[in-house]
Amino acid sequence: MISIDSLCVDYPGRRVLDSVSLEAGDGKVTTILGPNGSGKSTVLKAVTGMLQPAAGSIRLNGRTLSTFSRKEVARNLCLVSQRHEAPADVSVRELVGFGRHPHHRWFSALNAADHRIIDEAIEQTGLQDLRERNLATLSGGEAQKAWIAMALAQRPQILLLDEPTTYLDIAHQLDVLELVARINREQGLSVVMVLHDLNHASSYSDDLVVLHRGRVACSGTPREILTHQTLASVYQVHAEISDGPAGRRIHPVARL
Amino acid sequence: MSVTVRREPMAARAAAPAPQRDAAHARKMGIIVAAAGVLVLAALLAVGVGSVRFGLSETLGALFGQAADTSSTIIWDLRLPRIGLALLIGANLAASGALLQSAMHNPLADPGLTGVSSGASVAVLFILLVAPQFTAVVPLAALVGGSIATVMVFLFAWQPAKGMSPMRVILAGVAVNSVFGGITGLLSLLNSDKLPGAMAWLNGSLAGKGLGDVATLMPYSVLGWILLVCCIRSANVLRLGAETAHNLGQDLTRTRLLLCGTAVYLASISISTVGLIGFVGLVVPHMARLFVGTNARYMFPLSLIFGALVLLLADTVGRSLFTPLEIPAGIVMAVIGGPYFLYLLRRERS
Repeated sequence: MISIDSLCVDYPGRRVLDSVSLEAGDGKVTTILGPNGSGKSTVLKAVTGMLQPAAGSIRLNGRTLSTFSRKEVARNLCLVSQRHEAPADVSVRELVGFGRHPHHRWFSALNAADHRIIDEAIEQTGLQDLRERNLATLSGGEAQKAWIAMALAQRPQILLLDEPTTYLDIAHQLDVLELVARINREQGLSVVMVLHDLNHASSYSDDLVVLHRGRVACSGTPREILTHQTLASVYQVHAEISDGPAGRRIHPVARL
Repeated sequence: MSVTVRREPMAARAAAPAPQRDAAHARKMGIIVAAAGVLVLAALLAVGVGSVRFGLSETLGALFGQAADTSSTIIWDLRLPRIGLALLIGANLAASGALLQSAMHNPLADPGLTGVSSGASVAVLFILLVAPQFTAVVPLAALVGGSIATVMVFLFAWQPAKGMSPMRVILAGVAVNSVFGGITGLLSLLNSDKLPGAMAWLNGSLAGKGLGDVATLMPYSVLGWILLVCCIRSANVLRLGAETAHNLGQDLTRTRLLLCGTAVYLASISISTVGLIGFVGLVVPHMARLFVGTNARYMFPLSLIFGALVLLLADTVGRSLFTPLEIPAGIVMAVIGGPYFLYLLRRERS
């Protein structure tokens, strides 16, 4: 369970997050939405301790984040970032194995239990046939799944995803989101993700948090949030809205 | 329909032979062992190269105490110390480069380009020229000088939001090098009467060293290699990028401190013994990566071996090419290493 209370984060010379409060976790899928530059990714980076808060507090299961060691944080939550850099010669299996890093001291090697967890993560993401392949030879969707598999091997309570679908075609976008939904459903792993696509957010989230200029504009269920009013005030967009079996659909029509 | 279309290429690719993990491990270990064998052979052959030539059997005879007194003297007092130093220092400089490259996320980092060497050498030169009564603490001075240079590179190259870009590291290295280069020039100018004594050291020459120098450097080097082994796991996590390493629970500040500290230590003990030898740290890790890839578990040990091999070759070429004239190994390395660096720059760009 992550509780963020009045969080402020500064980049040199400007405030990126201004008094942001939100709660996530508890087995739910929470999606952070907002226009470019609204501070979505910054929230995730602050939660992993990559960025230090200027004010406010972040609590993990009721305990202040700064009292955790780096590895403790990594055992509780893990972030799959938007862009990945890894040498071309790392295999899927090797990458997923790095997920066990926070569970080890610097000198201890992977044991049988680790290998079981690694194999499970590879199976959950459907990468069995690719496990010995190098990352450079994978498609964007396969690579994204490999990074998610690494995160699963960390065995966190909360999975943080920063725009997991950004560089993928629509088929692989759905693949990745279905995977996330299944992990959430079957393992009760909480998910906090940043998405751009409102319809994906609507289909795959329990809760939405909309950021606008570093502040929380509104939060609630997709049906509560994805309204004409929010789209107009946050995105300055007029949209047609309909409700279907996959949840609320947004069809942007015109810039306001 | 759309599902089959999507699955087909995956199935086709999966059918291609997948390299097995253990096979890959065995292959890489095989390369390391083979390289070590080549190194031993090269070292034995190098003993025979010089104004008096020895065959392999004579060399082995001298090593096991069954040779004539004169050849034994030449081999034990002249050739072996020099070869031993080349091996130790080549290994240390290569390891230093490999560590800096992983700590700075920069394929072009090496003790020379980042200014570590020039920082260390200013400190050594200061003692040699200005305060010769402190010659005993030369290694310590080199360590301090190298550390100051490293801190300067970090201060110049580090951007809070972006980390260290390869370009900024090189620019910072240029700046640090020119600062220390200026100080070196100033020290030399002010103490020109004592300069000839420091000349061999400045050019990175392995000449005129005895077994005592090898014996002094040996324990320091072994300590450095132990530290290198301790760096392997951290370096491997850093391969995934600073952000992912952080998300995997790696303390970035502590990791960079460990890696850079070990790199500076390895470079400093080498520089304090034989002076400035550039490009070993730059060239060798790239060679090692060509053979065993980026995994530090294989790449670091192979860098040690290749580093020893490269400097051994450079020194042997330097002392045999224009006999009786000797070219310091540092100059040979600069002649080979400069063009290689340009080649790397081109490749990085494409």
